[in-house]
Amino acid sequence: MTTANDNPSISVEDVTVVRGGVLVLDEVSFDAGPNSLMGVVGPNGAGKSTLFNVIVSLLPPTEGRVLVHGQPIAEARQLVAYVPQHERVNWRLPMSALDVTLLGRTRRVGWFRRPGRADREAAEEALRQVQMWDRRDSLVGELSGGQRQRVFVARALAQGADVLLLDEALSGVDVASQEALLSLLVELRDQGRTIIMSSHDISHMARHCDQCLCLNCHVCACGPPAEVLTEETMLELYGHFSVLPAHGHGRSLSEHGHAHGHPHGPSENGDGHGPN
Amino acid sequence: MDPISQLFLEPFQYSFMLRALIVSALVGIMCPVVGVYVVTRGLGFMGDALAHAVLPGMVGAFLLGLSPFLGAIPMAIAVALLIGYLVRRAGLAEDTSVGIIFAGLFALGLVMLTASGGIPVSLEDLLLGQVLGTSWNDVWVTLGLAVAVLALTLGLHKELVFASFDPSGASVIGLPTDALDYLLLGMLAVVVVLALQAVGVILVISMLITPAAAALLLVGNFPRAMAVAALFGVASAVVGLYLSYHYNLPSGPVMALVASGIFILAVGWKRRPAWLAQRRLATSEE
Repeated sequence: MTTANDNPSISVEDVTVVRGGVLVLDEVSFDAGPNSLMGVVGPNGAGKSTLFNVIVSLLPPTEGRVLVHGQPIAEARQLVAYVPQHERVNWRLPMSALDVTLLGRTRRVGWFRRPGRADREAAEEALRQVQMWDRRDSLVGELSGGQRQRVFVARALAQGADVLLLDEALSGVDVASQEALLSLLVELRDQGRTIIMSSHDISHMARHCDQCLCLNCHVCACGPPAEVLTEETMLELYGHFSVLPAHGHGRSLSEHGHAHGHPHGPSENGDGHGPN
Repeated sequence: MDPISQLFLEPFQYSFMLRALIVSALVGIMCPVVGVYVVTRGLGFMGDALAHAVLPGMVGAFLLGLSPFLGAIPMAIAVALLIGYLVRRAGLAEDTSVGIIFAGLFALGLVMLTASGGIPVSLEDLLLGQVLGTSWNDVWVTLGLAVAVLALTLGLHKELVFASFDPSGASVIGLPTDALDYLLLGMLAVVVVLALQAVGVILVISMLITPAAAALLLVGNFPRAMAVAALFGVASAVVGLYLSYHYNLPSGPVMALVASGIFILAVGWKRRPAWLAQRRLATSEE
């Protein structure tokens, strides 16, 4: 189950979560090293968001622990950043892309102080990297879904995080912007960061991730997409394999992902423009 | 004295008008500064409820011969924290928790007022505000608390904004979001009680949300919206006070009316015809 890695950025060790008497996560263990883009796949209710919440310490696990570069997360918060799900953000606040990026500097700036020149420079560099500097004065609530995600990634970069978590990264992002966002994530991975994302879009995961964690309360499979995104795993995850992008029975998904690449799942319907 | 000076200065030959002006201006600044959070976080009903729920505290303080602040401020903070706690822990919907507490305490206040056989303040003054009745003591308390609230909102600006905009992201980087929420509720409680002097229980909501909503319509930047909201708030309070003096009208309702008028103008400006917006653009480009 556990990916071999000598120096993992994130180690999830036997994490079990019981909420309201229901087992949500059952002894989940995996490692993710630097230079890795891990996709977490699984049906609704599989515990993906719960797992993310445990990793970023929004939710204490019932058992088990999460280590960031070998340290408990409480001592390594600066290194972990979280791109929130769309509905967790209060879009009524008038925040420009630059404002949001500067929030990443909050802990570095410190209490009762205002961001200084170094913070503004870090925010500018981050916005340039995600190619949103030209839109720095736009209100994030008025940006498209993909642009918003890029701004939140910029916030993570301004924070100096080297582990990025994106829950439902592609929901509300239109098909054209999905590619741009995924290319950005690949670029960040190549710079040495660890990216963990969840999405319903298995074909994108197959093409862009180098590790896939198949989760349905427990870890069904974890490893390179070509090895783990098989018909058997899909059957275990979803009860059927019609989620596969091409109907190639008995072969791995990624072989087809390259050839066809039709996005599947609910995310393709999201128009992703503007606030609700 | 020329007529203009007379219009503006004549009211201040009475020291009660000077005190009223100071208190109104402070309320006009503070309410909208906290009000931009109230509007963007949907806390309007909460603010309204706090104003009603402090009635037992105020009546109690009057009965004991104390300053109404001494009853109202601790009561408002306690109620705000209690509502915050109920919403988090008891699993009740926010408007239900707020409604239960607000109605129960307001009713208790009304019963206390009647059963006590009378206090030195009329129910009408409590409900509609009586800024002309403020003492120097009230002025100093208002000034001190206004400075404290402004210092906290400005000093903790980025933390309060982060926790309001993206609470889970704020928790992830280790900000104490629960404490920041309670702080905001506590400041809301203080501001509501101070505003009671000027506009009374029923109209507190107008000072709290109307100038802030007008500013947020016009300005797409949180700190600037705060400044513009404060400007609208002061304008509402001060213009309202002058109008009430010169036309012998109750001050609280006139302040609320001016705030509403500013809001209507802001909506009109926001929806101004395209030719007006374009002409202004053309002029500024020249």
